[in-house]
Parts: sequence; structure tokens; C-alpha cells
Amino acid sequence: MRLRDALEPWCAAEFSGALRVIDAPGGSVYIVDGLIEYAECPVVSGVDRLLTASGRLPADAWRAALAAGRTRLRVGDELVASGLISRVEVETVVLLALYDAAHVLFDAAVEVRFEPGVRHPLGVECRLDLAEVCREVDRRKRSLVDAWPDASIDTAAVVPARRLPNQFVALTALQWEVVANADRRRSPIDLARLLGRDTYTVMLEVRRMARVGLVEPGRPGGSAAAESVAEVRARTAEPPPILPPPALLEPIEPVPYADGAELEPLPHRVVSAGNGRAERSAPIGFDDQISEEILLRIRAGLAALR
Amino acid sequence: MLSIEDCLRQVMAIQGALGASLIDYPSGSTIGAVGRGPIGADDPTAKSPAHLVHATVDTAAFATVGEPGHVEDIVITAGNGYHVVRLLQSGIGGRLVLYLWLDRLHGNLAMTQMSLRSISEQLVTK
Repeated sequence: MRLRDALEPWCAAEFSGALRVIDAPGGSVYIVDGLIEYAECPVVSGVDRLLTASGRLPADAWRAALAAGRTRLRVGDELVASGLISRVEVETVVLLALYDAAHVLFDAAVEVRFEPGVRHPLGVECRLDLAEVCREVDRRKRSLVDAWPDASIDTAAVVPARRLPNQFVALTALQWEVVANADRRRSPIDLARLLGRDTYTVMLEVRRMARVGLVEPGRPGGSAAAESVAEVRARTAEPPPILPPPALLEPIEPVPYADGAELEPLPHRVVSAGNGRAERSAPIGFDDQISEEILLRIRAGLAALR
Repeated sequence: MLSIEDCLRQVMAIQGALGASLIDYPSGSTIGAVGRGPIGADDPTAKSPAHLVHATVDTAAFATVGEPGHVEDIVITAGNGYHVVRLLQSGIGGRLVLYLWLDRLHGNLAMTQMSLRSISEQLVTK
């Protein structure tokens, strides 16, 4: 089942702990009282690379903050206390790392295991609704598809066009970094780790550049990270539905009998297709019982504990 | 030190401010938001101000060929108010933009631009 579906019963039951991804690509999602605190995955850049590989923080400043803060779960505070980086920057980087990992993990069909009570050493103050993170992941996936429809470009080598057909081109700083560091072997995932940029943004930028002809789709990249992502995508459950507007089923029209008496309209269910989750209101007459659907989900969540 | 919430609250204190957000424009993600958004802002398929920033930095006219350039802010005067986007300059902040929706009657554009400049300077160290 998709990670976002596996997360749902834990969030609904307001648990705290870490949902660990057991098979490739690995990673975890940390929740506190059912709200998402943080997410990480080894194939994406992660907070440490976002700070150090980008040149924003020297590596020893990061290591010092990690050493000082990890047992008391306040690495984030230690970074700010060092005076080298502002709180807004730390909060931004953490959020970007969270969304980066969620983007790779949420629709992956993976085995999971829940570890109650675990907190992430960053000591983030972020508390996001599962629905909000799902919305952001869906938005990101839509943007990627809009820029360039073929997903294999994310795990293929980035090959800048050898020659441009026109007289000049203007590049943004990020596009320059991609072009200057592309060695015809590194995939967007590898470039992101090298440059200390979040993985999603580099994927998006490479797709945008492919669309205007600055980059050619290359052959599949050889790095372990790229292969891991490609493999996870190959096994993934069907992609999340593009969100239709919430629809109400029409109530059944009362059919008059021949003798003029009207039937009561049958009770109808409201199905809202927001965020890839279907919610059903309890059919009339069943309010006293917990719906079977919720019981099944709790059982699935408890089974994941095994 | 200023947190994202403190910073957005300072922006909302600008006279005429209707809504403010901090957006990471390369990914299009909203890092924080307070106040109201213009109608349709909740629609997940609507384009956020990040698209405006992309369109601007992608426009060759605002840079000189062969030289790094930078855009400081973008102001759009629309029927429903002023939309001011202030691009932060350095560090990781170099990818953040402050977006403010300002009421046309109660907001003063020039003062708002100055306030946004000083708030944005507080958001990044050195």
C-alpha cells in the first residue's frame, strides 16, 4: 500500500512516533499527536546537504550543532544559536527537506514499521496535517508532469544541449548550477545532492530546461540513488487521481407509485474526493456503531506494528 | 531571532495588508502564510506568485547578457489590490520571496516597499 495510506490510521489516531520505510528507498516519517513533524529519505538531499553542500554553512558548524543538540532534540535551535544562520532559513530548509522526502515516499508502495515515541533530533516545530502534506505532494507531482511528461528524465543523466540554435540564452542561477555541474552522467537526483539543492527543485528545473531545449533526455543514470528512485517508481501503486471537484451524488428522485404515494428518497452518501482520500459519512441509522471502514484501518495500522 | 510566523506578522502589520506569505519560488512551495489570499488562492490548480517570479527572472530583459543580475521586487497593480513580491537576496533566503496582497485604498505602495525591504533584511543573517 502507498505510504500515505499507511500513515493515515496513525495520524487519525493521533499517535506520536516514526513510521519507518523498511524496503528501498528507506526513510522515515515522524509524527507527533497525529501531525507530521518531519520526513526524511536517503535518496533526497536532506537538511545536512541543503546546508553544507550548498555552501550556506561550513560542515563543522553543522557537525557541531548536531553533536550539541542531538540528544536533547534541539539541533535546529543549536544552528540558530551559532549565529551563522537565521531561524527563518532553518525553518525553510527543514520544511523543504520534509516535502522533498514526502514527494518521493508518499506514493511509494513500501513495507513499513511504526516505532512509537521516537522524535527527530532536529527538534522541529513544524506540525502539518497529513492532508496538507498530501496536497503539497500532489501539487509537486502535477508541476513536474506539466513541465515535462516523461518521468524517466528524473533518473536519467542530465545532458545539456551541445549547441543552441539561437544567439543567446539567459539562465537563472539554478539553471547555471545544473549546466555547469552536469557531467553527462549525473542525474537530477545526483546533482541535487552535489549542489545542496532540494531534489524536487532540481528535478523540476531539469524538466523545465528539457522543455525549452536546453537539456536533452539522457540515458538512465548509474548512481545508486537514481536507481533506487527508478525502482520505487516502477513498483508504485497507480498514481494519485487528479483531483476532481467534490461531487455530491444526486439523491434518488422519489418515484410516485401508480396510486400517487411517493417513496422516501434513499439515504445518500457524500463522497468527497479531496486529497486522494474518500470520506464517507455514516449511512443513516448507523451512527451508534463505529464504521467498519475505520475498524479495518485501525487493524491495518496495528498489523504494521508487527 | 525572527521566526517565519513573526516575520509574516510584521508584514501583516503594514497598513493595508490583506494577506502575506513566504514562498520558496524554485519549488513553488509556500513556507508560511497569514491573512487572506485573493479569491481562488485555495484552488490547488491555481498559479501561485511563484509563477510570477519565474516569469520575471526568466525574462532576459531584466538582466544583461553575460552578467549576473538580480530582481529586487515586483509590483502588480490590479483591480483587487496591489500585489507586491519582494525577493530575498542572500543565502538560502536567495530563493525565498515575500508576497503581500495590499489594499489599494488603505495601503501606500512606496512605504510598503520600504517596509518589505527592511523586513526582508532581517530574515537572512549577514
